[in-house]
Amino acid sequence: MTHKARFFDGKSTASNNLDLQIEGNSLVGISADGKRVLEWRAEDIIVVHRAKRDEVTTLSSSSDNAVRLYVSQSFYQLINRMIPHRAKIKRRFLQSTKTLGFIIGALTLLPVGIYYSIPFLTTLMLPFVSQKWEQELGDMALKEVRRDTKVCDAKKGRAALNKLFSALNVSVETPPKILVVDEREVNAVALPANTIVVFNGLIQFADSPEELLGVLAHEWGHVSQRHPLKSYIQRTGLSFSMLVFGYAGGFGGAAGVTSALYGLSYSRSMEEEADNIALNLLLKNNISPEGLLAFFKKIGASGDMPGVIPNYFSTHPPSGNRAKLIEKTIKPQKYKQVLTPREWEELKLICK
Amino acid sequence: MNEKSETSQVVVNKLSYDGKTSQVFGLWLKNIFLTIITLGIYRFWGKTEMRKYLVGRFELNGDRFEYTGRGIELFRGFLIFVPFIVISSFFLFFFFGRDGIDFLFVVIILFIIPMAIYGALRYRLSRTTWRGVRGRLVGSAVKYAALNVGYFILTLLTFGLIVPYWDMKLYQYVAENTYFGDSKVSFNFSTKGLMKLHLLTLLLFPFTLSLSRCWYKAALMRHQCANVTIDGLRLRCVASGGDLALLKIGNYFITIFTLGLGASWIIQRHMNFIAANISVIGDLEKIKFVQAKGKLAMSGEGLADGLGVDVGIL
Repeated sequence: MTHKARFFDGKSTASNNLDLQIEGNSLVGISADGKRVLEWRAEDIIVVHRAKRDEVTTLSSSSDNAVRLYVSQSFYQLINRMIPHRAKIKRRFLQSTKTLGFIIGALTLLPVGIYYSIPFLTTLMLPFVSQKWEQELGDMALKEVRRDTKVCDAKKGRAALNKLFSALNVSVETPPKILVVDEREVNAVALPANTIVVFNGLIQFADSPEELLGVLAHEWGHVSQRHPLKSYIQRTGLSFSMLVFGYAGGFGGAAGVTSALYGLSYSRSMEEEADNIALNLLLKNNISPEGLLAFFKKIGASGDMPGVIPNYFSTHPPSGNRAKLIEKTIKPQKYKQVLTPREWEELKLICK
Repeated sequence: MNEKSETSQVVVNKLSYDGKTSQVFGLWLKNIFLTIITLGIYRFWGKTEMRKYLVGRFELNGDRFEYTGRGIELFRGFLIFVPFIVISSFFLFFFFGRDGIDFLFVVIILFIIPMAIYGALRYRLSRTTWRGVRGRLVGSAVKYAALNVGYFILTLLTFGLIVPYWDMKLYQYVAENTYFGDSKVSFNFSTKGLMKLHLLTLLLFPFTLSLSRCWYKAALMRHQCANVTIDGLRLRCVASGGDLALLKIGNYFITIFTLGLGASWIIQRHMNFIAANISVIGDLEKIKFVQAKGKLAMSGEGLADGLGVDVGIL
């Protein structure tokens, strides 16, 4: 029994009408002039398009997958029984596990690659970022801070603050701009373009000028290394990468969490760097690190009081570890006095 | 005499499409579901499956078209594209500062998107077959994008006068680089009749809620098709401005009233519009298209995918 089918050899659009026969385990197609044009072993047959109802089914061969054979539904039913089921399944399974492995590999490597390349890229481009742009960024951030708060500038207090910072003896062309804002929060932030913002809450929280100076030295560590700019770039780069991923891959919520985690570990390494700079500066200038130590101990103790020191812990190394690091450096010696008691009182009144 | 007898024998091969809205809807729903639960990764396979279905429902002279692309190829394209765009944008952004953002935006719109379109077109043509023979797009995506930028600038300088040239020149570049098998498409450049329509519809633009442009677009489609020949075959497009306007208005209301769930219906309308309006003139049985030699690229559409650009050949 023969069946008619149309055959395209994959080399041209010329149509060949074939008589199909089943010979043992092979499908054979004979052209009008009697030539055996096609001889496919059953296990080599690929079903390109399986017809529904009375449509035409498209077959091809794994030995040359450009060829097309259009057979009727009834003939397809006939040869479908011939094609070894196990062979079909096995091939498909092998193909899909390989694909799956590839996908999983790529998906794990890509985020890891991006994670490690961002700090590297940032360090690489930092020297090229223009001062003007950094200034713009700093002004923007400053505006954000100053928007609903008063800047404290009591004359005597200001003079005391300047004297306090000068004790660090940082020899740079442009000393940092230090602003005090009238906020109750115990905090200090470093902003792009060489700016440190001190919250009045921190000044009141400090029990000695050394304590405040320790924090200032820490913030100076950030500013001197251009950490605010660096972290801005890193965060933007991260959210941008996540945007591409999130958009293209639909990661959605997962992207947010990962981004936050990444941001955390980046900033921790910067905090450690700032701590080291601060400690070195204090020791070099014969200033007691006990102030900074007391500060860390105090914020460590009040850590479980919500609202007292908001958003300080989240991005900083545990205070306990930092305190231990400082404790090691303390020696029984006479340190220099950074402010007179009177100046310290005046500094406390900077917002009055 | 000769010419007359030839016209009387002209064979018109209508394109036909027999996709079912219910099946497109089923596929669409399945793709969305699987895309969500696989965190987006299924998208590439879903896209491929949808294209296989849509392209496979087009028939010309009794034989169906076939889409032979694979999901893994789109996924590979995506992987190639991602690190490239992340790193390059990262650098651009910070070298140029805040002014750079606007610049980047313009570059993406005018240069990168046309590049992506060309690349995607190249991939999709190479994966579209009829009677086992593949389409092919040669030429350079960069050149195409540069052409786009050039015409954009000329359009600004001429206050929009030159738009028909822009449209036709870009189409010409694609057409003249298109092959079916190893037969090259030839294109006869002209903007005859387009200019008047362009200016008229531009004038009416504010009074017709932009719908007047449908008449220009339809004329452009007819004109583009009419100037394409391949091995003596010609294309014909009979879309009218009214047809196009109805298509757009319909799609607009479907989107609004089904809250986007009618996407599959819109796909169907587009496919039916293409099938209803395009035919191939000439005897297909007499012409033998020969498969071109050469290897196929292993990946595709990374750029277009990342930018969310989708182009259709069929």
